Amino acid sequence: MKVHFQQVVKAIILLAFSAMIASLHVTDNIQKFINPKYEYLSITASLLFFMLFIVQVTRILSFSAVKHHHCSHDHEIKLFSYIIILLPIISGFVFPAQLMDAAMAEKKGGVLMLAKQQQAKIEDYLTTNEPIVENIYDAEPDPGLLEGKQEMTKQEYDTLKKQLVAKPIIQMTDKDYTIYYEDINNNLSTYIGRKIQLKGFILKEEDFAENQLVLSRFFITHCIADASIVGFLAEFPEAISLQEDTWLEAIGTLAITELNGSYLPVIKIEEWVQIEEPQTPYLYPIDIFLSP
Amino acid sequence: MGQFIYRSTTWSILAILLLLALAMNVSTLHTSILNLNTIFLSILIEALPFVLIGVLIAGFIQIFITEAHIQRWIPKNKALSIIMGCVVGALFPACECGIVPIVRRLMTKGVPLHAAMGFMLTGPLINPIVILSTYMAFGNDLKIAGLRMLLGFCIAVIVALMIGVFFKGTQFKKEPFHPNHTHLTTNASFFAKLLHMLQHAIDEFFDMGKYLIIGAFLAAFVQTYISTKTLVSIGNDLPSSMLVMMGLAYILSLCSEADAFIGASFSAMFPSPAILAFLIFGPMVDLKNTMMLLGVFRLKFVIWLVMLIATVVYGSLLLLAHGGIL
Repeated sequence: MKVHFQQVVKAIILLAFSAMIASLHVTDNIQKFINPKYEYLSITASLLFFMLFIVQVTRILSFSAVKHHHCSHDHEIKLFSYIIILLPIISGFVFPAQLMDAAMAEKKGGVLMLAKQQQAKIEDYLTTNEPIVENIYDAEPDPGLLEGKQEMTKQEYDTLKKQLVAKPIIQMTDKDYTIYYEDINNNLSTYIGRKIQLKGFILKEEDFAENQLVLSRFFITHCIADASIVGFLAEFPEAISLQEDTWLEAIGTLAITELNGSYLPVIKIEEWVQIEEPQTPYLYPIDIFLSP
Repeated sequence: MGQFIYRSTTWSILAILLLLALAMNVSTLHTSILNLNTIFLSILIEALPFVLIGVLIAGFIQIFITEAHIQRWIPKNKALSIIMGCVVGALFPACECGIVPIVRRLMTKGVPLHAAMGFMLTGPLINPIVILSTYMAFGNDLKIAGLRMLLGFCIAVIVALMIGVFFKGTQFKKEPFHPNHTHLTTNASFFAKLLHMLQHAIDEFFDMGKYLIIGAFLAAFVQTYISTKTLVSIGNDLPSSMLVMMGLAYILSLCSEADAFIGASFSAMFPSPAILAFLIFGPMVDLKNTMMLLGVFRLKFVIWLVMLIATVVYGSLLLLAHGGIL
C-alpha cells in the first residue's frame, strides 16, 4: 500500500476551494463579489469542488506496485503551481472583502461615464427651451425600461408606473433606480423641473465647481469586475465641506447642465442628510416579465 | 517557455507590489490591495463554475469521445471544417475561461488546429445569453447585438482560415498528459468510465487553474491601478478610439456574458464601430484567456493568434466603417 503525497495535496486544495466558496456564502460576504442573482452558480461550484474532492480521495491510496505517472514531473514546478493555486484560497480566507469606493469609481471612468445622454434630444430641448410636453405614461411601456434581471411582474411594473405619475417625487429606490435612471437619461427634457429623491456616495472630480459633487452608485451585472458607475451630478452650497465616499440621501429638482462639453442632468439639492453606508450598496439589473 | 512566462509574471507582480508598498503610504496601499484582492476573487468566483464545467466537458471528451468519432464528424476539407468549427462554437454555450481546456481535449482527439480555433472564437461570443444581454444593454435595440454576432462570426471564420494557412500541427507547447488513453477498454463499465472522467477533470483543473489564477490576478491588478479615464482620453478619432476600446476589452477580461453593459456605457463617448470592436474582440481573446492559452500552446503561436485576431477585428471594422456600412 502506498500513499500518494501529491494526490493528498490536490485533495486538500479541492476541499479548500469548496470550503472557501461555502464560507463566503455562510457569512453573506459573497454579495461583495457577485450579483446575488448568480449565487446559485457559485454554490454549484462549491458542490462540484466537493464532489471532485471525494473523487480525489479515492486516488490517495493505491494497493498495486504501479508507479504513478505524475511523480516523474519536475517537483519544483509542481510546488510552484500549488503555491499559485493556493493564493486565492489564502487571500479569500485571510483578507476581508472590500466594498468598492470612490477611488475605484475613479478607476472605472468616474463622472465621464455619466454623460450618456442622447445629444440630439437635448439639443432639441435647448433650442425650444421649454419642456417637450408628452405624457409618456399613457403609452405602452417603453421597451427601453425593460432592462436587466431581478424579478418584477407586469403588475408590479404597472403599479410602479402609476406611482411615478401620481407621486410628486421620483423616488430612486434600489429596485427602481436603474429603470428611472435609464429613462431620465434618455428623455431628460421630460423630467426637467421634477423632484427627485435618491441616495448615493459622494464622488468628486478636479474640474467640478465648489458646489458640485456626484451622488453615485455602482451597477453590477455579474461580478464587481464588471461594475459601472451610475449617478447624478448634484449642486448645493454645502457640497464643498463633504468628503468623498460619504453616503447621502437627498431631495432636489432635476435640471440640465453642461460639463466638459457634454450635457447631463443635474440635481439642485434642496434637502439632504448624511446616512450610513447601506447594507446593499450596489445596484443590479432588473427584469420585468411583461407576460402576466 | 510557458512555465518560464508564468513564473516570471508572478515574481514581477510580487516585485511591483513591493515597489508600490515602498512608494505609497501604507494606508492607501492597504485599501488598494484589499480592492485588488476583492476584484481578483470576484473574477475567480465568477469564472470557477464555468471553468469546472469546462474541465468536466474536457474529461467527458477524453473518456467518451474517440478519435474515430472525430474522424467521422470533421470534414476533410479545410474550409468546411473551419465553418463547422465556427457553427458548433456558435451553438455551444461557453465562456472564454471554460473553453480552453475543451479546445485542448478536442485537439488531442484529432480536431485540426484551424477548426478548433474557429470553435474557440465563436464559442464565448455567440450564445443566447450574450445576445440577450447585448440586446438589453443597448436599449433593447437588436442592431448592435445582431452586428456583434454576424461580424463576430465572419471575423472568426477569417481568423481560423488564416491560422489554417500559416500554422501546421497542434502548436501545443507539450503533448498533454494521456495523449492516447489506452488503459480503459471500450467495454469498461459506465461507472469506471465516469470515475475516470472525473479524475481527468481534476487533473485538467490543476493544469489550467494556475493560468486562470494568474490571468485573473493580472486583470484585477490592471483594474485597480490603471484608470479607464487615462485610456479613454487617448481616443479622439475613429482609429484611435477603436484601439482604446480593444485595449480595454483585452485588459478588463470581462466575461462575455457581462461585458455588454460596460460596452454600452461607452456608447456616448465613442462611435459604434469602436463599441463593436470592444464587444467582438473581448470574448475572442483577453488577458485572462491569454494566460490560459499560454498554458496549452507555444508562446509564439499565442502571440500570433492574439495579433491575428486584433488585426482582423480592427481592419475589418475600420474598413466597414469607412465604407459607410457601420
